[in-house]
Amino acid sequence: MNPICITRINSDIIDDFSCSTSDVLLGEVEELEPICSLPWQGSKLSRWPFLIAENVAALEFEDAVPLELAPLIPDKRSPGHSQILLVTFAIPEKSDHFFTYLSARTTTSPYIVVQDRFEPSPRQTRFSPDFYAIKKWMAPVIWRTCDSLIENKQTGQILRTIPITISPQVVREAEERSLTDDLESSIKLAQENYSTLESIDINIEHDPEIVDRKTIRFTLTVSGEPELVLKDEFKFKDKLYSALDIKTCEQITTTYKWKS
Amino acid sequence: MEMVPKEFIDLAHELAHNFKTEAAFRSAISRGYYGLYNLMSRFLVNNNIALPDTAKAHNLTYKYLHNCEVQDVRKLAKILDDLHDERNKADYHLELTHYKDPKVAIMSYLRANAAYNGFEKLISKSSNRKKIVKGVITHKNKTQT
Repeated sequence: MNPICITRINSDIIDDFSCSTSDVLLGEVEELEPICSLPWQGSKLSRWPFLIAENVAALEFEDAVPLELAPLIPDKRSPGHSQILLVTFAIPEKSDHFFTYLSARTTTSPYIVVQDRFEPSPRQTRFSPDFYAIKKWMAPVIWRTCDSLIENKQTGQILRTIPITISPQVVREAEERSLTDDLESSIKLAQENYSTLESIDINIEHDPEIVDRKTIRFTLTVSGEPELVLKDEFKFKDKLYSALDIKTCEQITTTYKWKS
Repeated sequence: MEMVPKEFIDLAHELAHNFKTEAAFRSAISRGYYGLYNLMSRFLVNNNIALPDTAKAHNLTYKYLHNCEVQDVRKLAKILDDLHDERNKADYHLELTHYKDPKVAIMSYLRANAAYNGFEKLISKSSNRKKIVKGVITHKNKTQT
């Protein structure tokens, strides 16, 4: 089964519904299956396995990987103060096990969490929902995203978001090595210092020639000329070495890809 | 006369800019790394800081210089480590398609060249050399105890 794509709105998903407004759809979903809130304390990456909740098997969630990041968009309920972030997750080898995390965050980096919600609730995600059901609860979210994007186009405001993908292994390693805060700082510094940054992927890298050596690898997808990226790298490294201790810097490597 | 490591960097430039094949781009990454690695590791060896004849020498060169307490050297050593990681990927992971892009090879060359020139400039001063060597020995002694 293909993952639901939030960033590129798929008309097929929406066309399945006869209702034409998001409010009607939202009401329908809420009436049938109330969405419950999950308290998620803090914004730490270490909380990402927050998905290990209630009735859900922990081991399954540990393998969850983010598939799509939707643009950060202004939250209509509190304009200027928070934005909505949507993340679709999947569990490898269990293609029907995917779900969405909805988060209201502050408008500026590092996007501190104001409120989080997990849809559908853990109770609902005993993971038997069929595709139709998943589309059903995704629809209002997609509509709201659409509405906000259109609204922003009308005001001429350009929204730019940098997708960040962090592998579950990195989350675990960061937790074990107490690097969670440092990792967040590094991400923030990369966002601030690379002028043509398009996305960030963070993985664990094993050295094929040295047993047991592994590093946290930042793969930065950029779009500028290499000379400009090199200048940005020096800025980034200067800030990184000022912000983090030497042992932490030792464990982070940086590499580049170009946006095609 | 002995070959100077800078020749590897020059070859990296040639491969990244004047050849149009993925093999050349991947080789540029590898040559750039080895140019920088040879400069740094030879500096250590020439200053009586022993390195093993194994792959561990790569990581030790990085770790010694990264921990020598000279801030500028740290950042240059970090580039060495980044390029080592990149070289591993370029040499061993033929399935990765982004190495078809010459910009990746050019970037690697630029990083290697900048770090090479920076390190060469630093060690051209006797006072810096002493500081770096002293820092490395202190770190080495600390980690051995």
